[in-house]
Amino acid sequence: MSAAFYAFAFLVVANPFRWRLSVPEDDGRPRPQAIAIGLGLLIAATLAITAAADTVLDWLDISPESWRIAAGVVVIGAGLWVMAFPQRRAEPELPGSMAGVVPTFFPVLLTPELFVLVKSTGADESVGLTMWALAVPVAGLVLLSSLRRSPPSETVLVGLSRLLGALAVVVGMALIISGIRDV
Amino acid sequence: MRRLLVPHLALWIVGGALIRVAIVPPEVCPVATATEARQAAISAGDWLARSIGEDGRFAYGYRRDVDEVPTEYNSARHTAAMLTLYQLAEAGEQRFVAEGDRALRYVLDNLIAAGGRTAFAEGGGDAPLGANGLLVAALVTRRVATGDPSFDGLMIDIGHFLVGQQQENGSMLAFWDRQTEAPLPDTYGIFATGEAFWGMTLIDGQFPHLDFRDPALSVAYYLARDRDRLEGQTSRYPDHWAAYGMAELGPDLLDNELIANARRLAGFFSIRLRVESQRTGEGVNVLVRGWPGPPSGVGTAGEGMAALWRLSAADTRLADMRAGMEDDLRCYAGMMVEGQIGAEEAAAYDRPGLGEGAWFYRDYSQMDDQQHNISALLAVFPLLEEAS
Repeated sequence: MSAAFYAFAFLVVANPFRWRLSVPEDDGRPRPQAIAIGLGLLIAATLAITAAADTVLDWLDISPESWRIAAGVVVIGAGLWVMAFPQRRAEPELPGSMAGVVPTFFPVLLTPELFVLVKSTGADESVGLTMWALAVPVAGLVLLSSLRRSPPSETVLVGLSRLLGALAVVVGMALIISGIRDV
Repeated sequence: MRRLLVPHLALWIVGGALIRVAIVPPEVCPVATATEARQAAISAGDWLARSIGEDGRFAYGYRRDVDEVPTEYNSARHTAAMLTLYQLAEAGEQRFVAEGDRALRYVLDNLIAAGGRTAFAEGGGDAPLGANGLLVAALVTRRVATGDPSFDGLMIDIGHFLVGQQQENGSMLAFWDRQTEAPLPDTYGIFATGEAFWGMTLIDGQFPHLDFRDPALSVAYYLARDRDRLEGQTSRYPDHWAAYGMAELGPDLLDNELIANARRLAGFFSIRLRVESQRTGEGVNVLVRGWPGPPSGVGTAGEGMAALWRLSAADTRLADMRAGMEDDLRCYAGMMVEGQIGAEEAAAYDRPGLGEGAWFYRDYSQMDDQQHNISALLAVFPLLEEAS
């Protein structure tokens, strides 16, 4: 699979529009400190998951191709869920800068579908490619951080979140087909 | 905080467990050495040799739970089993030439004139394409194993019979009708086309001046482009005989379209072997993965993958798949070595001779269970030998 595919897959699976709708805010604007901490933790977690992907799959006796099939199933399920519920319900948050950890990093940024995709990409491709692909939704969230929430912007974000959910279903199917056909 | 995290963590844990059980059970791959794989092939060859009756036919199968040998028979399986005995000889076990020749006697007793050519047709019936394709493969293998040209005339004659079954679009009619003395129209065999294709490529390798190459290439394109659609398959058919044929044609004759077909086939063989390695035959695993598959089916995936692995050594367009192919083939060999019935276990059967060296699927073993796995294990042997 190409680097462009992975960039697209990370964009639709991570879904920065859904991220933007769910991160902690002050007066309709995302809290920069929470975003920075959350994204920092996400990048660190992605590095760790990617670096350990081969070892973990070996330990579990799972080939990368089979894991790609599993990732596809999870991504399809998550995509359908996002199509139905494009916006997460409000999560309780830890006080102060710890809000960058909960809920920003977990459960908002690091979702099951992103976790399985990172692990699959890490097992199939290099750390560099995985991090490059992650940079796409991360950049998306950074750009969207300047957006103040208002009824019209929220409507647009919800619509785009739902669209990426639908595209995630397509990406999931592509992952399954690739996992079946690959050696 | 607990109210926040517990539902999310529960989702991760339960979801992870579900994925593990239902989608990615462990792929269990026992380790087999080259010696063990070779011994398994020989032991299965002995099963086939022991089962040959006075008429030259093999025992079709054995049901160990009720001590029953089916009376049915299949001519393609006969020539295929004979072929594997010659493959064992080609691999250095020369004593199997005599065993193969015992089975060949049954073929020689059942030859007919077919449209000015010769063909093998059991009991006065129509001449089947697939059995004759594999007969050519067997005779070529015998020639290579022994250097004996005694059957050159017969194999060339049968090779021309195969070509006579071919239609303009490269497809192959599955039978030659003895009543009309012509190929039976609109009949196709799910395995027969690939069997004939491989036979033609093998005979072309021995006698390049006889022009079996063009008909063989015509079948190769038909298999890659049209066969599955025109013959009513709902998906691409994982045809290991086609893989053999393409490996025999080699990189110079395979354009990118045919290589793309080889890559598709490798994918099918790979998922088949991976799923097999996930099957335990116990508990919930049976619900999500089914019973361990029939050994013949696993063997065909091993054969097809081994043929394409051989091709990948010569064709850089398959080089990126080679490591994955090797993983799958090592896994295949380990599973089959572990699953074979040994002498000790077979001693408890009513007919130990039809147990030792066999692979069973739910208390039943059929001649092609042994045949496919002999071929595959012999083909994997060089890979395992590299590692030792």
